[in-house]
Amino acid sequence: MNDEFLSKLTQAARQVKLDPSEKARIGAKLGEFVKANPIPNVIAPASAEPFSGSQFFGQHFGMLAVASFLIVVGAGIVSVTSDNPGVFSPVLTPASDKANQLPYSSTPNSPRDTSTVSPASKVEPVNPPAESSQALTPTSTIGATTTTDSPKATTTTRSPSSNLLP
Amino acid sequence: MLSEANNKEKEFGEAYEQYSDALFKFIAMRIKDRERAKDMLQDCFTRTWQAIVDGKEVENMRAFLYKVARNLVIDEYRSHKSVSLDAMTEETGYEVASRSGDNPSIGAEVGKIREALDKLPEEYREVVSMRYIDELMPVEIAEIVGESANAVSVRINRGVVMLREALQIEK
Repeated sequence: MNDEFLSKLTQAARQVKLDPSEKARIGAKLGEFVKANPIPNVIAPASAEPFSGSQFFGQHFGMLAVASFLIVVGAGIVSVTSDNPGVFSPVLTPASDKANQLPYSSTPNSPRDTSTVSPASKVEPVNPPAESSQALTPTSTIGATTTTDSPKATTTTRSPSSNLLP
Repeated sequence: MLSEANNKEKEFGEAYEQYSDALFKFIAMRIKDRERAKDMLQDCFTRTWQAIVDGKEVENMRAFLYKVARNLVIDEYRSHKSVSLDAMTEETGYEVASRSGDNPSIGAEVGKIREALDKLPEEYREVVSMRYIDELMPVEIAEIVGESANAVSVRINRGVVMLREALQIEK
């Protein structure tokens, strides 16, 4: 449909234009309208608004959830894999090693401290202060456990073969 | 959320820069009143922005703007119901089209074409105008008027045939 009269119509219509000054004037009015009618639920710049904990939590909820999940899973792995969970407790820190003690363990009047610090006296005989650095090594701990609670020792004492054999 | 709002503002500003001339032509060629067309152009963009603020998801900004402009033109026709299109034409002439026309004879010829176009039934006039005045593709026209591209193409062809007959032009 390349009719000449249609081409003339198209060409004539192309002459109808908005003057640049008119365009700028309407554009400025529209800019004011847009500023006066912003899109709702827009978070204002940080400098103009005080910190909001709920907003922060809402924005970083995913990261917080992942971090707490990893902490829980990590703690679970540690407790399952260690033979002696108490090894990781500050309670087992030798009494002589002041540098490794947590601040609250030095206050004996605190009810929390009495409950947590008291086992130190029980551990002390196993890991004497003089050999504290060696006593905390895994080999010495495993060795002590093996000699006292070794399943082998139980097996040898209650061996079914020894009982059934004439 | 902030960047999304900024993006929409930016997109809206770009749409104004890109489509305001064409939309002005779309309105002015139908209203035939340059000053009123400028007001309606501004109204077209403010309504579009208000729709965005109200949560309307605008996928095709150009088509959306044309739809708003088309509705404004229809409203304008309805508000001037007592004044016929012919009367409006007589009142304002082809001021909009002839304003920057270089050749008076071409202006007169175009005037005759426009007169014949205005006498076409609305369903044909609209699509022919969109195709040859606004230079929109049938697919774009289809989106604006809410019909299939095939139906629009058929109507354009029929409208051109009718226009040719009205102007007594032989193919």
